[in-house]
Amino acid sequence: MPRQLTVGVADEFLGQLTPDGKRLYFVSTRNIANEIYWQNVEDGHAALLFDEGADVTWPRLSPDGKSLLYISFRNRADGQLCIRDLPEATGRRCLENGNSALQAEWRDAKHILLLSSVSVEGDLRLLEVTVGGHLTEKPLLQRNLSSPAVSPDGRWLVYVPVERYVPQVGPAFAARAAPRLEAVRLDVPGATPVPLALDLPGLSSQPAFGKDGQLYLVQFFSDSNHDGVIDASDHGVLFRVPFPLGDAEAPSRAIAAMPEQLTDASWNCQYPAPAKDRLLTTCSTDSLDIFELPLGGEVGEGWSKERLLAELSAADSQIEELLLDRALLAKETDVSARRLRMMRLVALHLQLDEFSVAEFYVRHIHALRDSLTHGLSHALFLQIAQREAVRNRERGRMADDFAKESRARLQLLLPRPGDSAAALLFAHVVRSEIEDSLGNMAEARRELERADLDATTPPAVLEAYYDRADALYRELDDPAALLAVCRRLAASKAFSPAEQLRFARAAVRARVRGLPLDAAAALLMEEQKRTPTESEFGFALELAAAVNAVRDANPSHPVREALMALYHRQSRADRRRALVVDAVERATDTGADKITEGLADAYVGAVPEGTEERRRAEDLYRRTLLGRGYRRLAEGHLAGARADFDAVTRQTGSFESAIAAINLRMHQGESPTFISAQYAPGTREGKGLVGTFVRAYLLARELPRLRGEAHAQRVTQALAELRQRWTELKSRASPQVLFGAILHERYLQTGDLSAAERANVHYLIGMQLAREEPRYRAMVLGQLGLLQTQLGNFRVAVGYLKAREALPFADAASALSVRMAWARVLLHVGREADAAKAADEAMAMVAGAPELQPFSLLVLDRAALYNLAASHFERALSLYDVELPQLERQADAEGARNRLRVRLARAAAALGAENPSRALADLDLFDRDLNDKLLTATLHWPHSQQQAVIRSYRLIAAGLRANANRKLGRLLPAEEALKTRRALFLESLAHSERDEDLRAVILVEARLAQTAAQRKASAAASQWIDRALDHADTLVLRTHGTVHPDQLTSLWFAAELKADAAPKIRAAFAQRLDQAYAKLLASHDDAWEGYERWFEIYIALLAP
Amino acid sequence: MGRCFLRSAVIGLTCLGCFHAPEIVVVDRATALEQQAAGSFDEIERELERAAFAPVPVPLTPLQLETLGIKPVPFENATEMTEADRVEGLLRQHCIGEGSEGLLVDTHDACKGASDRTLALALMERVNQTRGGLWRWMQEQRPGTSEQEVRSAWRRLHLRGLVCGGWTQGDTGLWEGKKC
Repeated sequence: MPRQLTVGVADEFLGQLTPDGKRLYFVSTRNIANEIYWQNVEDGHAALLFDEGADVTWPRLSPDGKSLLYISFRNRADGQLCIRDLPEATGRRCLENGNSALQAEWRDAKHILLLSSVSVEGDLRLLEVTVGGHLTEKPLLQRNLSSPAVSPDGRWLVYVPVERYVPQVGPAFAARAAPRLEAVRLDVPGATPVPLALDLPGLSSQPAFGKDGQLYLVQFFSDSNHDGVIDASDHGVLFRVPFPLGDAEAPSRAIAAMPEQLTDASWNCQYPAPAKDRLLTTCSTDSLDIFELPLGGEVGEGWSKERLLAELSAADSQIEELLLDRALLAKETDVSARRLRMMRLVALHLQLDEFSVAEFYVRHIHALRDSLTHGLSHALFLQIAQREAVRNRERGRMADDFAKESRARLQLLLPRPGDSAAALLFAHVVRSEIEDSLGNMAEARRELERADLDATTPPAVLEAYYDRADALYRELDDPAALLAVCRRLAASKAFSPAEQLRFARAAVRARVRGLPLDAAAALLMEEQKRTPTESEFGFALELAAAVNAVRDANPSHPVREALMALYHRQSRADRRRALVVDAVERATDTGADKITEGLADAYVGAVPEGTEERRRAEDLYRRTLLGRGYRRLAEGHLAGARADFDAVTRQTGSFESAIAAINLRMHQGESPTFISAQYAPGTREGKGLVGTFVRAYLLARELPRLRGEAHAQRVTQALAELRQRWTELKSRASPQVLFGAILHERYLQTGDLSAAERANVHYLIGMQLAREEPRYRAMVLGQLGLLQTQLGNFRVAVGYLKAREALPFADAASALSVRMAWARVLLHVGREADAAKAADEAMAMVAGAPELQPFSLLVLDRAALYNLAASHFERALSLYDVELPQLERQADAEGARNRLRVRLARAAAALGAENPSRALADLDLFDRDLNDKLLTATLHWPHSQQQAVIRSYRLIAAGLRANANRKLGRLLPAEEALKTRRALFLESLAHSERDEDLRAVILVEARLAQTAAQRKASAAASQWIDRALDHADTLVLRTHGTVHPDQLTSLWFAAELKADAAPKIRAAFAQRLDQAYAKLLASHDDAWEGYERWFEIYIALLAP
Repeated sequence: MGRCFLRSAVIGLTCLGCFHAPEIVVVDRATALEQQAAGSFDEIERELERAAFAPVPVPLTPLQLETLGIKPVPFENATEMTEADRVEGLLRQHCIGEGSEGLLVDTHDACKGASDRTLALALMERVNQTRGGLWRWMQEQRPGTSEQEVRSAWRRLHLRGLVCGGWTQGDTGLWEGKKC
């Protein structure tokens, strides 16, 4: 499986690895634009390589790794070739030839091949660019092509020919890529291109030379997006073919070779970039990301035929089978063996709806001309056509012609002279399928019954026959017919015993499917009496009977023993595997954990290490025993839990179990030194990578207790432990998460943002790797949520914390921690009421758990604050009433500071709760404390001067005081408070020159006018509103606007105040209002419509 | 009326009781609120932060996982499965169900464990299309029988052979796994 190197929601693609394998360069869209980033492969730290100030793409490392070429869109919208010197990405120089740059490749450290065109509608040409102090060019080839790749010796160019089929469409020309690559000698002037017709279905593209004498490429070989054509918008699959360097016949060798399939279509991998020891590629998951895989692909390089066959027998997915069958096909030399292997591939590709690939293999089968299967390919072609038509009908296409074309196929499937028995049989199978799809069930059945099996029928045809019988008889609810077919196949000598067993089990399932368990038991017993026990059917019956006896979560001892005894009696691996599969499925359904545990233990001990089957056995063992360990842990059975965790570590090398065991050991008082020794190399628990991981984990556990230099040293040590074996560790979730956690610790201690960024990358990779490990996922979700909250990325944190909140917690403290982070995040994303609710829930958690008491004051403070933010004033006030007395007991500076803040907050809560007297009482104390220089010296806000902080507090207090006095009807004190506020804003304006401060002054002055008017002081009111209007005019001038909303609001308010003024004043003001009204009309802006209507009214009222 | 509206417009803009951000540094309202009015409890905050901060898998028991609908990856051999086996697996997983009208129904919300919904829906559609063809054929064999009668008769027989645990809609509309 490809290993992911980049993570995140943005697209990251076109990866290039430095020759030493330590740095990755790639294009990223994380800031919307296409930019080139570099990433430390070891620790995941990524950074922008350079800021071009425009989109860039197509990064290509020079062979010596010292320069990077790329296409820049800074000076030319159609692209310009540029290079920079690495690692600093300095020395930018670009080709100034006026042509557009499309793609480029290094020929050697000093020369680049550039694909360019004179104009966007012009033909393409290949230039050779010489790299020096500046870039110079000379023409090389005049040809329409794409994806040029140059061999490492610079002698060969391989590319995708591009055909211009419409001269010009709009600003460009219409073109289509040829399905095949071409190769041309670069060192032979005028050399003729050689078509590289590789033995692959579909379209070849994106060739890339490896240093290993292989040509890597992307093949688009099936219509994966179902748009009716196979093109580059379908899923890509990576292949490679030998292309021996220095060999003049290299293209012929590539054509003659069978391409190796490196990935499967599900990954949709493209842009292969072979490095020295691995292959980089861009695959599509949720977004585009860069992955690495061995140069030989997903199937182990160098595996023998025997190994491939063994892996194939244990394969548990069609994709695995497909890759293994393809690898086996390359090793088969016998005609019959090749034919059978290709028939399997046809069946597999058909199951995956990859019709063109299936057809490709049928063409090869046809070419083999084997008498035993003569005519088979004809029926296979028709089966593929029918299956494709059925799928198209399912997608709503071609429904009209479906019946007609299906009937035509039925005619074509009539026996033809010379057809082999296998072909005749298979034709019946296909005719049955076609009749079924036409709804002719009787004919479908008759055709299947006409299929005449005999000892010479190839297994692949029998498989097809079984698939048809299973589909038809289950559709017709005819288990007896299916049973007969399965029993017949289970006895067929064409199959190996393992394959016979598969059909025998299918026969038993057909026999008892849906029956009540007792009836099924009785029936199985009856069948057993009539069946030889040594036969595959006999074993299948015995197995089904033993499994059927498991009825609930606690099967009796004899039931468990019978199953285990049956397991131990089997000497064949396939029988044991079948038993484990069936029994575990049953035990999972009924919750009979002891059955699973016993079998998992027996199974893992019996399977050889290093095989795919062993991996599956270990997965089962780990999952089962870890589950029991955690269950015992929850029940307080610590010794049993530890025994389980240790057993999993010994048997599978699991890091998760090692962590669980270590935590128990520490809980039981063992020292880190002692524990570390238990996992030292050579010990039972310390095999493989476990010892390294454990040492790093133990060091990381000390970090929360350390500060300063000791903390920094421990971080360095822990990371060094992991780095020792990082190449092996990095593909597993636990080390990635541990690496992230250590960097997260560094960030918390030092505030180093790059550490936080790298922690984030490791967490994300860890989460990707832990897709099927819910316990790890839960933990990583929490870590990511906390990290993003700490970084202030609240909207990013929301998703992680929400997902984490939905999962259970191991202890009350971690649940409280996440709940508090969740509440804070909600506050910051504007969900104040939800934040208050979450904080109230946190208070309830604290009340219900004595161990959370140390956090009670913090939770109380936040609950009060979030309720205040949510305008739940009564609730906030009651919480502050509880909090403040507790703060009184804090004698230190922190206590004094907290009392100051909480008094102010309580005043706001009291005011909101319609209790202005209480607000004023708190404000008196607040103002007193704010004059305490020792106390105010402790008030700090990030990035703010202390003078500004104190002024802000005074502004808030003055505002609250003004409002409180107004509520009490005390207009003069309210006016005094407003004057204080005005003075503070003017002071602030003098320092800051910010428009916001000027606006605040205008609004306070308007408020002063309003208050004066209320207390019938018309002159004062008029004076304040005139000041407000003067400031509003200044604001309009400062903002270079025609009008400003604050100015209009002030005018509106002034109009109301001056309605009762002397006629002369009224007339003067009406004139001013009229000017403003004219500006509004001239602006033709609907936003001012409300003002326009009011101004019309007041102009009329004020007019003499 | 107009004057009251006027006053409230002005008062709304002044917003004197609000907390404000400090000058120069522009912060959002929530950040300003925290700076101005939240208590600072450095040690306790650090301790609480650390309480959930450990690279340790959450020790969920199998029962807890099951309650959350997280089923272990099935220990099965997918290569041995036919299309009908896959449909059966989805019925046992409750991702699709045998509806009361005789058709398979998408019941993804009841699905136990992970499944590819797109694949499940494609399989479901395919089976339903085949059933439609089957019922038409059955009706042709017994002229005079309504489609509803054919469906009901077919469904009775079909449910007898349905896999144990298969998700089924009863006559009352409620869903349950087939009991054996």
